[in-house]
Amino acid sequence: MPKFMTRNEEIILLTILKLKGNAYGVSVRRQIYQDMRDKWSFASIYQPLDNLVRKNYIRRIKGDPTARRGGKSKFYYEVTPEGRQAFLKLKKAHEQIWSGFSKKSLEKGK
Amino acid sequence: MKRAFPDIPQLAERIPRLLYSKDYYLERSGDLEEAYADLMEKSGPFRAKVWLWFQLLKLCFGILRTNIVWGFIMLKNYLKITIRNIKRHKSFSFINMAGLVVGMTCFLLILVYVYYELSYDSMHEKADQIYRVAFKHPGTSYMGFDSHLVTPSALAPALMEGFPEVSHATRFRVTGRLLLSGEEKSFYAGGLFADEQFFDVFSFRLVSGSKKYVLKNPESIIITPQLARKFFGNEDPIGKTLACSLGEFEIVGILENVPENSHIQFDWLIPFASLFRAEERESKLFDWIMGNYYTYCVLKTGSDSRETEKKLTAFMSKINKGLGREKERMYFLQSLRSIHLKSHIGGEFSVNSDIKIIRLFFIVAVFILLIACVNFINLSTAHASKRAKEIGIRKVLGSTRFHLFRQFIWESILISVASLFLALSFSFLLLPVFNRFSGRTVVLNALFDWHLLLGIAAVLVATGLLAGLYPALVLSSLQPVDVLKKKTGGIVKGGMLRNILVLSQFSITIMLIFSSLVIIKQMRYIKNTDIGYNREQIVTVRVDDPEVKKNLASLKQSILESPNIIGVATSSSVPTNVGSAFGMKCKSEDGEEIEVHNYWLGIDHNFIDVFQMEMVHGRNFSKEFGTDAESAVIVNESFVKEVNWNQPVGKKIPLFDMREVIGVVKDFHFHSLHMKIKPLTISISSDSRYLHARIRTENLPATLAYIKEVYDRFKIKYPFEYFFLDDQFNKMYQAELKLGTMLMTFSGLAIFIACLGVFGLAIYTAERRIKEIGIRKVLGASIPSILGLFYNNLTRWILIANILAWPAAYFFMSKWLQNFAYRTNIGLWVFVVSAASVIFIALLTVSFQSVKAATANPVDSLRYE
Repeated sequence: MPKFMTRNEEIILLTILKLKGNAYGVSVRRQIYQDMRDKWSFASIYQPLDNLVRKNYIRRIKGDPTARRGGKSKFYYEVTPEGRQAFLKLKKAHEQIWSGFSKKSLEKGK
Repeated sequence: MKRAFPDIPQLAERIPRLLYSKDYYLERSGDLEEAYADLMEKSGPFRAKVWLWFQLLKLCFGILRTNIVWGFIMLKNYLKITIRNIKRHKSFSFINMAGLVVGMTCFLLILVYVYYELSYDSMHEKADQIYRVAFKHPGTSYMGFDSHLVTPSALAPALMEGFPEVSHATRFRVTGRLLLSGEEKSFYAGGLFADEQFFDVFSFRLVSGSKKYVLKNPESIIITPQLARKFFGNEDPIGKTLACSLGEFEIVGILENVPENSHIQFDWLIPFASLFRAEERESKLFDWIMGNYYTYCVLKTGSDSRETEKKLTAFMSKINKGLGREKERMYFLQSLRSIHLKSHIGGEFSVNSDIKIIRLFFIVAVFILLIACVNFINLSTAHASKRAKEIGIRKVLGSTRFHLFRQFIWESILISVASLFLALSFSFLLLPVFNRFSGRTVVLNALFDWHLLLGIAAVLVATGLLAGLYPALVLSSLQPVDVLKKKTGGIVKGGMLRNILVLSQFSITIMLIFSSLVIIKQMRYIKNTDIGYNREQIVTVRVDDPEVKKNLASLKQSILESPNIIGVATSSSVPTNVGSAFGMKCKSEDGEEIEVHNYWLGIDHNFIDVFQMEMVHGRNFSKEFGTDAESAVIVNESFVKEVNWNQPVGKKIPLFDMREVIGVVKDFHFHSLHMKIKPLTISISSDSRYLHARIRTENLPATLAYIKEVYDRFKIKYPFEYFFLDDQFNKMYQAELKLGTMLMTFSGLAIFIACLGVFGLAIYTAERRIKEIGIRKVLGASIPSILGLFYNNLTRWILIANILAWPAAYFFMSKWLQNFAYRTNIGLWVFVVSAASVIFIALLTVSFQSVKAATANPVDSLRYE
């Protein structure tokens, strides 16, 4: 059984996966905005990020400092094999839950 | 590296630095700065700044939330560890908590009591604006007071008319108990004759009837449900009539029972006008001559009572001059809320408390709580060596000093919360006992008042912090290396501090014991003082019934027939409290006129013999001299001293008319021992209100039944009521007795708590020095010399505590004794007993442990070395 994941954690995990190695705070936030048209605060990004790190689904990698960041290092996030596995299981579970509904039946509420 | 946008606010740098450790700070502060730079380019500096602040705020909240969650998880761990520790060291924890629980219980009980006393008269809506009129009349003295309460009936209306700042004023008369008769039953009940404004001033509630009308009609009465139930059971009392000596009254309203914490107590209210016959009402209701009434007024908000006092004094002096009263009277206003605790003047109609006593109790409560805290501190630090390993391991595993500190503070708060709950339940159980002590009916409901709850919560936190602070500091400072190397001996120092704490504990305890000893001594002094007559075995019966009064002579005769009754006498007042007093102009032997303020007692021929009073000069009243009843008077020694007579017998004094002094009775106490014996005149009076019978101790119930039977032969309706004079005498010192008992109890508890602490320390010392003792024994130390190790230190500190406590206690108690005109001295034995008892009890407590340690086989303690 994979460890429990909240919806936010799930979104973040997917986004990191999508960003393929270029996932750090600002880019994750930007990607979420592009995908969901929703502006998340940094606070609500760091919370799931920290939780995912604690669950060992992603890991932090120290990057180089840039001028734009006031000389502070970037920290990239990368999905661990464990995270990947958890994600696959989750995907399967999702598909199971969603199977049997057609788009039409959902819209009509039947 | 240079920044792209150097104008990022300083705080935006600082906040993440505060919130995060270094790595995370770099990441998060960097992210923020980058996003800020993006937004700056897109939307300009203003929006970027607003956005940044929002982000920072949200970060803070997020962190706060997580920390609270983790705080709770840690708390759960602390709770678990605390409970484990309590379980592992059962006796130790028991001692530790017992002290705290006892201390808190005392504190709670006293707090509730003090709170109750402070709540007096607060139930009135305008409580803070209501004032009672009183005046100082220098040169007069009644029962030792020169300030009085009784005012003329015209004062209240005059206040309403002539003083714009007075919004309402009411007057009432307090009579003693009045005999009220229903259709079948008769009861004595106390009440007020009040005027119509009564309910404008006071907010006593009515169950039925309207406040506007109930006091209008002179032939009406309002009673409390309590009284109504006595007369009519469950029937509706409205419309029924009650009769008393003033006529018949129809019940037009029912009051709510008067709250116990009101200084005005009554069971009925009758309109003021009923006191007078219809034709004299007009004059009597607005009369300046007779002062029999209590006046209360409501001042408008914002007015200065001092101003009113000045105006009132000026106003009244004009009126008094008009009446030919020359002596100046200074009028003053007593605020309603202060009456119960601060007013002690002539004419008080309820027994008031004393703010000093209330303060004293509160101080005692705080002291006891302090002792309990000190205990906790002492025991916890002493206990530290046992937990040294835990602390070491925690430190090795990465606990910082702050973590440990937090843990120990939490532990002590947890223990004090647990103790508080125990203490609450104990207070609940003990409250009835406490009420019997204090003579009040305090209910724990008061505890659920939010003021008090806040207070208790504050005390709880303070106790937890205070008690936990020092142990936490000490424990968290332990070095893991020392601890894990088992250098347990010298880990926890602070022996000096512990000694000083023990010192303060015992100082307080000794003060309490000293004070209660002095009170006990004074009480014994009162009991053993020769009050000038024999008050034992005297039964006093009230004579109110007109029929009984008429037949007093034959009643006396019949009572005397019983072989168990030695003598019978009657008097106008009880000899323990002679109330009637007036001024009298007497001539001294040089012809000088002296004004004597004297008290008067009316008696019959047998009185002096029955009470076994002693005549110093002259003779007693005698039936052989037919003129004694009309023209003779006996005075007491104080009277003679006041007028400076050498030859008192044969002098004439203007008592009622001119009377001849036929004898001088030896001074006897006709008031409580608080007051000096005053001049007294005694004459034969046919208007007796009390009948005294000296009885034999055998067959007491039969004798009482006999007296009742004889009384019932004559009476019409007044119930038979009697009391023992001795009880009446003791009642005068109830306040002191209560104080003594309470102090005694609390000092007992204080010493108990202090000894718990000493006991705990002894366990600790015995454990710590077990090897030392073993070695001493091996080297030939005797058991007494090892016991000395334990005793010497303690005795020394207790002796020092004595020296600290004595002056303070001596000072306070000699002040207290000054309340009595006749008092004992604080003898040497009070000092000796207070010191000796504390030392004895403390050493006894230590002995349990020390004897065990001293007699133990050294092999056991040294085997593993």
